[in-house]
Amino acid sequence: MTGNLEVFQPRLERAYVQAFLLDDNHDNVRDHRRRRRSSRKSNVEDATACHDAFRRAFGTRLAVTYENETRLAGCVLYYLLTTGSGLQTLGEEYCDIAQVAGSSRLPLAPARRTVLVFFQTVLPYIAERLSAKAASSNGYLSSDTSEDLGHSERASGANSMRHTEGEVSQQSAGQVNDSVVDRNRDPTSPCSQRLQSLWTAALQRWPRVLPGLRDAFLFAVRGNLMLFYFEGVYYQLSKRVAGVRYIHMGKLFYKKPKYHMLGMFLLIQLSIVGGDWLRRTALPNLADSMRAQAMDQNFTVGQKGILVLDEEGNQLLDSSELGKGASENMASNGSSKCSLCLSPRQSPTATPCGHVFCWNCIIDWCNEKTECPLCRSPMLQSDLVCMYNADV
Amino acid sequence: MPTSLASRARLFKEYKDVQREKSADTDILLTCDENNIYRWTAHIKGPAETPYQEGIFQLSINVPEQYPLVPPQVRFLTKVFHPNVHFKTGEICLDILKTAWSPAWTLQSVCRAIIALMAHPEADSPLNCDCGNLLRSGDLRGYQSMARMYTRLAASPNVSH
Repeated sequence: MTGNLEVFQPRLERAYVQAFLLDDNHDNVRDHRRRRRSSRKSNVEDATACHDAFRRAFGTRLAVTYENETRLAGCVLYYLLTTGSGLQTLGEEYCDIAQVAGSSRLPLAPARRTVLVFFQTVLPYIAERLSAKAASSNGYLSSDTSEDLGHSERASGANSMRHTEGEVSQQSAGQVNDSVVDRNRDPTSPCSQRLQSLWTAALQRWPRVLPGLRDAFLFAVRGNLMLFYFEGVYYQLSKRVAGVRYIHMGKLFYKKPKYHMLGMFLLIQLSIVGGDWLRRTALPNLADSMRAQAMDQNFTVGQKGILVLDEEGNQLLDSSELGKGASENMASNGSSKCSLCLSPRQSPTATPCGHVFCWNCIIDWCNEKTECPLCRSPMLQSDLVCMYNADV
Repeated sequence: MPTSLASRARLFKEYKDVQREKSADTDILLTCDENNIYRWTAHIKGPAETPYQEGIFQLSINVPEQYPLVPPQVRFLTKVFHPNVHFKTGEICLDILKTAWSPAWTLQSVCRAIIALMAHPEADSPLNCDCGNLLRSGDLRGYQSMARMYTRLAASPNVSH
């Protein structure tokens, strides 16, 4: 039980903030907290009770196997009996708030209630299952990547669109983000051959798409939070998607606080993240093409170097230096020479005493003798540091 | 194979440096065998204010393939009367050519070290026992006259030509 509560703690906090920020009216803080606690408790208790009953009936082994399912059943049951049947949940009742349709501010129609309950309970579960399945089947599928890209492209597009619904899962299931993100592939639509192929294609692209999806999901959550701070209507994405908001029916104790400042901060953060993402996705392409060009040039230089090297020892060194320096992109200007090979340093490596050599040179010497070639101070091979990030 | 490549590359480097700085150090004349980069010959001037001054001494340098991880083998081709040089074979007793070798030394700097050794004989580890005994017994004058005589006999440019 305590374990469960801990798991739910972040959600609880968020829910609390939500209740606190409800746009229409504001109740006093303690009430909100109590409401949250009770609603949380009822919800959790419900799921736990379900699980417990199942365990008694079918034994621990089965109970562990189907733990997620029984918990889901508990949640569904709870929400169906409260929200689904048009009643307030315990927490809502406690705080004198009720859910209404966002646009008309009328009590929720059954369809909308169903959608909300679905978003809050079933979707996260499905998402989790599917992502787990995708992860496990990934191994097989990754080999045959012959599917055309167009399909998978569209599939991933659809995925990100369904994201909005995806977030819903977060609140009601209390799962970690990763699993939630994966839920993008809810097979809600009537299954057809076409969807199936989309699904396979998406599975193949899974490893590449996954990080992006996770980012996109987090981005959406933050965006939603930002909007919430500005307009103060939908705290959870599930509520935003289902168009469900709260109204307060009790007495108003406090003036409605404004949270535009928080919204501004979030906006700034989001634009920075977005800019960074653009930079990362757009610039690598540029960099790649530039690198390709550079490679071409270096290639010719290297060629020249090799030719001269075969001809004459004297000149060889000059041109081979050039070739090496350019092709390996080592920071090697004339002054930074390795005192062991007398050439520009390749993979500059520092000894504990601060002398710098080529990695290969100093490693070779270390096999002979464990002292610095320049100052003879003792050193260990393991003390050598290759200075990948220094301009030497 | 890689080591021989590395040594070859480094010797080319040294060769180039020697060519470039030929005029800078007039005491040492390093030349490389035309057909073998691993065989070098050095001519060094005897240091001033020693019995060896005005002498020109020839050294043969054999560079092993593991160079610069192992020291080059250097010996005097010219007869020299010095406690740390074998009188017959020309072998040199110098720590940096044995145990204290460091790859940071070059052929040029090895020659410089040998010149320094000529100026500062170390009588406690003699290869030439007669010479060492002279010095250890404090007969500086005897040592100097012997060394000067051999310099005149073997290392004087007039004689060698």
